[in-house]
Amino acid sequence: MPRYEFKEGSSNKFWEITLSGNSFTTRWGRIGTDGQEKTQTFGSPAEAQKEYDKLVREKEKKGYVIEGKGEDDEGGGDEGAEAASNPELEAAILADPDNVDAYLVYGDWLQSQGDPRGELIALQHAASQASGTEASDLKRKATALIKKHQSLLLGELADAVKTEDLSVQWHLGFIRSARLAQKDYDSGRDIAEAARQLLALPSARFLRSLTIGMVNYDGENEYGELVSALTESGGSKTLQNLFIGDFEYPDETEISWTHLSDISGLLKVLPNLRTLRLRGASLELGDIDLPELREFTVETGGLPLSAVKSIANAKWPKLERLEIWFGSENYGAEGGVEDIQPILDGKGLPNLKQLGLRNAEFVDALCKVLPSAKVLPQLEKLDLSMGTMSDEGAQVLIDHAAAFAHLKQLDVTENTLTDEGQALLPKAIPHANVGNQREYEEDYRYAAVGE
Amino acid sequence: MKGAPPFILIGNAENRRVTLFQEALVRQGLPPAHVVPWRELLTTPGLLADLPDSEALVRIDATGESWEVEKALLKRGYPDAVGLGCSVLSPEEVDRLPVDHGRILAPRQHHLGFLRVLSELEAIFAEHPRWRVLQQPSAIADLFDKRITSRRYAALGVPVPEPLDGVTDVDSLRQRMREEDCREVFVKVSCGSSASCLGIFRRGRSADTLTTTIEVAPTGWYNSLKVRRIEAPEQVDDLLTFLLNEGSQVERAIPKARLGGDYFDCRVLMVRGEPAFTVVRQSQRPITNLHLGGWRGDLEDFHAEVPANELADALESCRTVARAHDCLHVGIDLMYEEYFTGHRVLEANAFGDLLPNLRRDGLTVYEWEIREALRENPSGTRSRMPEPKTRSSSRYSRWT
Repeated sequence: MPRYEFKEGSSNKFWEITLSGNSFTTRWGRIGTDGQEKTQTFGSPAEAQKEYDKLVREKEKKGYVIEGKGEDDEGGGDEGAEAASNPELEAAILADPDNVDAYLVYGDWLQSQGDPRGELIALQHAASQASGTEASDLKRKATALIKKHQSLLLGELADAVKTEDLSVQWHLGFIRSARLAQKDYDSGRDIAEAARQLLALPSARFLRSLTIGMVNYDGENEYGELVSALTESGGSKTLQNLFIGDFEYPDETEISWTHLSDISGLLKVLPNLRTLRLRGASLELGDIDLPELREFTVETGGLPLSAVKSIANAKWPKLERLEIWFGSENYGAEGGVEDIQPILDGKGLPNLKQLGLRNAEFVDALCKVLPSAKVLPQLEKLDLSMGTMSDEGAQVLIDHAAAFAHLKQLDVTENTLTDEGQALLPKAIPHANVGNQREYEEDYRYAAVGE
Repeated sequence: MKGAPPFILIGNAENRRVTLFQEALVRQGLPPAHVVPWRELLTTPGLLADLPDSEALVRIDATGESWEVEKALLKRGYPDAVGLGCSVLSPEEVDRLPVDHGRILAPRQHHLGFLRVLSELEAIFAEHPRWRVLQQPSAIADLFDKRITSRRYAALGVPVPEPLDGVTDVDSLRQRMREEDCREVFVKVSCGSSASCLGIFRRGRSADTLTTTIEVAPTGWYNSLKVRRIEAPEQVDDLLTFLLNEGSQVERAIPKARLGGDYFDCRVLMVRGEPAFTVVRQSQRPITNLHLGGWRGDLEDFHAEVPANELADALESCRTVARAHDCLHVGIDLMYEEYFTGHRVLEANAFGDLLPNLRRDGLTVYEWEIREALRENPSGTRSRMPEPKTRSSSRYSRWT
């Protein structure tokens, strides 16, 4: 029996209808309760059918959404719907992914082939143009359509969506963004395998953003297999944003128990990457050549020397934001000021506007070279937070305040300044942000994040 | 601004909310406000009641961050709290309490004390018809009850996280979550603020967890600056029982949209019914408060990501919320759903305007509020502000 549900604001209602010969029975109430029941009888089956159709239309108009035919039959509404594809029309989208018209043309063609994706494209486009209740109605319809045709649209990954190990953003009929992660301790999902399925999925043909969270709650959180799966799948020419390591530390795992592994091969098959964010330990980057990259962030408790050098010598001429966490020697951090000299010289970084040299244990040494760093004049934001800057380092910045005067923001929070250092720095450099200093202990100063 | 009526400011005199507001008045070329400190007002209502009924603007600010005021409000709330099932401290127990920063003390009782004080203020204001009260006490009372606001906004068509009704204890909470097929809820003591007395309860197949700002220490429970995830089943149930006994809003946890990979939501400060300032609160975690590891995100990044129609719809919701309260300013916590597929109003705050170092057209938040407060009162001759001429619907407050 069809079950319709209405969830909005504080409403949480269901409505069911069962047609049988010349009568039907409706049941309605709050979701989670049995509700009330009423049977109506008509002169003929045709009359009952007519009234039945009318009621269903009314409910749909009010925003009720069909919930499948029963617990085990979700997504069983695909009869008559078939997936179609047209390489030429897809090529038009690939050539200009922001061109909405290319999607609409493809949508029309898909609709003519009986592929429900065509309707989805039309609905989502209409929703993007609408506002208020009209937009909500269209979004609800799109959501219901995706649910109805989930096996066609998501293939084997429909189950991953159901268990919340996969969340996806549908944009004009296709998956634009996806996040893959074991939802919690109870999840046994093989994230590497799911990533392989995702890259092979027709719906993800124009995938733009991919985020990977926890892949393993038991023991170490290893990204090696995931990275291999993505690389062996041939990467993606459409992917612009990649975030590996979207977990909460220390609740889900420690940052040092997470192994990013060697991702150099993967980067070679992601030529259109614009933002890359990595969180975890044991990172190898190899020779970086990312012509479209705008933002790079690595958050770690210990960055190995080889990775420091990869970053310092990377080819990313369009880079605008660079954020590096160096980490603690106790957790494998290596390298110092001399190893990032190419960055300080602004070598190959003509567009760099925001630089974060964070979570480092060589901040005082860094302060000595920063005032004369060639890269400084082009920067708008400089972030030296979470490190071991002492009053001595702060004094160097104060002595050369003019060199930092052009910055919109200078962040030295979570270092190890004394109250005095904290008071003095903003007097010389008013836009310096000095809050949340950590305990200062001579000889026992660590980066904020290690373990 | 010559001839502008003077301000009366009820607040904690030593608090930066008051000192910053005074500075803002001075920068606007106005005399400083007549400050009526909560601490003294609670023992000597005459400090306010005996002021003359002459043209003045009355601003009410937070009672928080003062130990003396906290104790006084606890005592004031005692008679109303007895028998409600929440934690109760007798006046004698309150007197014996040592100063213990951040310790959670009978939040419902404290709130009931505050409600009593608000109704006393209302009576004083009724005797002073020439005063223009920038936030009506009854509106402040509503804003301090998340159970009221959530339902009122939903009734006005504003999307809010769906509340779970019928939760009285831990068992019924689990039961209702099963019925609603809901894996994760926010449990917030309905009069709490700044993410105090709050937990995110998540049902797992093998174990339940509670992510909370409450720290359980040997000397008591504390509001902590560190968000923790608690997994020990007994402790999870203890904390939930406490939150529910104090009177909590329970609502579905809605996945938040991301900016650059981080979670975020917005504090939208509404002044006279219009969005005046927006702070993007970005965080590694779904709890984005700036004192809990969140940071101010980049407004430009946000505008680059949010679809125009989603932004317009969200601001319309904010207007509806602001107009539901007779207050000059309301600080709305607004979230966008994952992938910007919608928005929800999480809550609204009566004292949500402490946003230092923000400027718009050269004005700080307080300066902006002062300008807007004076805008409709140029002559200094009206005793009460009239209904705005362009609005006729009774749904709109005076501040639209």
